[in-house]
Amino acid sequence: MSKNLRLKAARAERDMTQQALAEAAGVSRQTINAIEKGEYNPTIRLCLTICHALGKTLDELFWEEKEQ
Amino acid sequence: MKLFQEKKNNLDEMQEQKLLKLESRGFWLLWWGLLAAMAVQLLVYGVEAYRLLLGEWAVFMLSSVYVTAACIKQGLWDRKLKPNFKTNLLMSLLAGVVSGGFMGIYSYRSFGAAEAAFWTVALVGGCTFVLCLLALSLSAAAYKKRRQKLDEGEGSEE
Repeated sequence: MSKNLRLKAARAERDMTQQALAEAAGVSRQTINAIEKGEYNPTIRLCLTICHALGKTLDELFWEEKEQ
Repeated sequence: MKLFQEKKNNLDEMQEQKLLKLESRGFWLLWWGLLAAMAVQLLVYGVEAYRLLLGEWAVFMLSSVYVTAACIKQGLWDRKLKPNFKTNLLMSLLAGVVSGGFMGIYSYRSFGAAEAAFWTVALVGGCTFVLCLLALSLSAAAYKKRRQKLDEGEGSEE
């Protein structure tokens, strides 16, 4: 799984730390860090919570083009 | 029970998954460890071990029956093996050879008679093979029935 740089950028755009996003999403900072590093594949429910916290859509943060 | 259900989970989903993975590894470590411990005690203590191993055997069987029944109820079989006759036959054969071989060694160590050991291998191996095949066939049939019921049941396509 590749790094989720869009999530990192969206978080930076809002001037949020990983800890702040973690608190907004109700998860640990370790989990946000793992998602950004591509080490953890979150459930759709957590993806939605993160999207709501950052004011973004699922497509903007999590959509990936199919690999050829 | 309700008290436990209402308590807030301190773990988030990733931590929960990690804990489940650790618990799963722990379970299999205990399961295989218990099996190995019983086998070693049987070889070391001989006939006396049957009385000593009653508790371990009960826990071992209880956990095995629980996992099997719970998996069937959820419509789950093995990750890699298919529930067909050929696989069941091969697995039963493997169980027969392993248990027969083990009991053959146990018999030879206990009584020192090669002929008795041979008949022990044949009898224990044969019985294990038949019983395993029966248990696997019944479990596979129950699994398939349950799988079908779950696929046709709630949440079916309209």
